[in-house]
Amino acid sequence: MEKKTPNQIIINHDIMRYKKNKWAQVLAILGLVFNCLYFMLLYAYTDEHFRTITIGFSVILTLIVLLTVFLSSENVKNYNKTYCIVLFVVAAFQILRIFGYPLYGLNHKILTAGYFGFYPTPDQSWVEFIILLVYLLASAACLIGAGVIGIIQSVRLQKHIKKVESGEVDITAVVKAMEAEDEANAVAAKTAAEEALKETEEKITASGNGEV
Amino acid sequence: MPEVNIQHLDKIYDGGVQAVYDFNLDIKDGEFIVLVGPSGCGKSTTLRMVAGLEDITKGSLIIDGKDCTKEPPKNRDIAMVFQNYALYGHMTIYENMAFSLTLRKENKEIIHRKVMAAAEILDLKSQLNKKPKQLSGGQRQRVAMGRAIVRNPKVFLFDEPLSNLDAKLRGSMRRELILLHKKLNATIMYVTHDQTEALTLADRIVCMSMGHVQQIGNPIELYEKPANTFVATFIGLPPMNMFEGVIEKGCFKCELFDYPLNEKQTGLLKDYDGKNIILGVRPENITRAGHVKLHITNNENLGMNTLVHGKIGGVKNVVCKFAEWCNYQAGDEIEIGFDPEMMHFFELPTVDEQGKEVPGKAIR
Repeated sequence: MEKKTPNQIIINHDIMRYKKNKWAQVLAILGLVFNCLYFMLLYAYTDEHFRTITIGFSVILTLIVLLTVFLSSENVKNYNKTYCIVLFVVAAFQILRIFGYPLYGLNHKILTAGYFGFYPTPDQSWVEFIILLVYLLASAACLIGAGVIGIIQSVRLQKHIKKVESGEVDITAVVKAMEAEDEANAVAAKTAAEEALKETEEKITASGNGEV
Repeated sequence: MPEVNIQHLDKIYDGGVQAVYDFNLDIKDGEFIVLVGPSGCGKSTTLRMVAGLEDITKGSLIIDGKDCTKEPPKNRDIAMVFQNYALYGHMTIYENMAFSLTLRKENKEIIHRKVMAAAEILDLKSQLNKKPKQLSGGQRQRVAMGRAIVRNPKVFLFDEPLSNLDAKLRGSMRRELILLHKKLNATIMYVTHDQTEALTLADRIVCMSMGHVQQIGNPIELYEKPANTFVATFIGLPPMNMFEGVIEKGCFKCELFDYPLNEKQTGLLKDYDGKNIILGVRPENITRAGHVKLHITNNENLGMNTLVHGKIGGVKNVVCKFAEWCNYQAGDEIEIGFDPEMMHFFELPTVDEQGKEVPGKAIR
C-alpha cells in the first residue's frame, strides 16, 4: 500500500468533519443485533427459575442495554467520545452476564430450549451455553470495537479541528497544493510518455537504416 | 471547433405536437448562452434535449466533437441545474454536493477536494454540515450549482435557476453567476423567461417564440436591432411601443398621427411607399419635443426615471420613459416626438401555412 503524503493525511482527517463515523456506528448496531440473538434464545427457556421475578429484571436489563447501545451508536456516529466509554461499560456488562443465567443454566442442566429444530437433552446443555456465550462475547467485542474506533477517530478529529481553527492547517491551501501537485504529475507523466514514444520512434528509424 | 454544435434540431411529441422547429446554434468554448422567450416557446425543451432528458426527433447534437444525439445523459458530460434545486432533503450539503461523484465510485479524497473547492468558490464552506431545509433559497441554489461544479462537466445547463428566488436575491445571484462564469470559464446554456437575466448574463441570447428561434445575437444587438416585432416587444422593459401605419411621401401616417421621416429613413423605406408597416419606438426614445399629442393617464416616478402612461387619440396606449422626475397628472396633455436614430420599422406580421402568426421582419 502506498504511503500517504502529509496533505493526503490532512484531507483524510478533514473528511471526518463532514462524514459520520459509520464504522463505529455499524459495529455498535452489530453488537445490538448479537444482544437480540442472545435474548431471543434466553427467553425460550421455560424452567421454573426463569419464570420467577428474575425474568422481569432480565427484560428490563435487556431493554436498558438495547436503548443504551442504540443511543450510543447514534452518538459515536457523531464522534462523541463520552458514548464510547458508555459502549465499553455495556461491553463489560455483556461479559459479566455470562456468569449470570447462562452459567446457572449450564450448572443446573436446564438449557434445553428448542433451537432451530435442535432439542438438547439436559446433558447437552453445554451446546446452548456455548451459543449464548458466543452471542454475548460477539456483542461485547463489537461494542468494544465501536468504542475503540470511536475514540481514535474523535481524538483525530478534535486535533484536526484545533489545527484548522488555529490556522495551522488551511484546507483551501492544501486542496490547491494537491491540485497543483496532480497537474505537475500529469505533465510529468505526459512528458515521460512523449519521450518514450520519441525514443521508440528513433529506435525504429535507426533499425530501418540498418544502424542496429 | 465549437464546444457545442446544434444542427436542425426538431422536437415532435408523440401526439404530433411540435415544440421546437429547426434549432441551429454553435456555442463556443466558455460562452454563456441564454435561451429566452415566453412560457411554452420551447426553450426548456431544447435544453432538455441537450441534456438528454428528451429524445431528439430530428437533427444532431455534437458536444466537443462527439455526436451525442443518441447518447444517454450520463455519457454527455453535462451538468444540469434545475429551478427547484432537486436537492436530497435527508442528506447534508456536503453529501448532496458529493453525491454524483459517490455514485461514480470516485476516491473519497478526490471527492473531498472537489467538494471543498466548489464550496470555496460558492462560499458554502460554513454550510456543509447543514441540511437543505436549513438554508435559504439562494444558498440552496448555490448548492445545486456546486453539485454541478464538482462534476467538472463540459457544459453547464441551467433551467430557470433563479425563478424561485425573490427579486433582491435574484439580483445578487445574477452577479454571483457572472463571477462564477468568469472563474470557471465554463460553457453555459441558461434558460430563462426573464429578459433582465438574459441581458445581464449572456454573451449571446437566443430569443425563441412558438418553437422557432427569432433571433440570435449579443444582448445589445437584440435590444438595438431587433430582428422582428416579437423580439422588439419581448426584449425591453417596458416593451417597445408599436404603431401600424402607411408610408406616404416621406411620412409615416397612422390613424392617430402623421410623423415626418428624415432622409435616411425615407431612403430605407423607399420600397415600402404606399405600403403598411409598423413603427416601433422604445419608451426611452420618446422625447418631450414633437407634435404627437399624448393624453396622460398615469405618472409613475421610479426615482431614477419616470414612466408616463398615456393614450394617443384616446385609443392607442403608449408608455414613455423620461430620465427626469415628472409630476404629470392624469388628464394632462403633452406633445411627444421620437428620437429619429432610434425608430424601428417592421413589416406587418404574416400568417404561415399552418395558420401561425409570423412576426413582422425588421426593415433595415
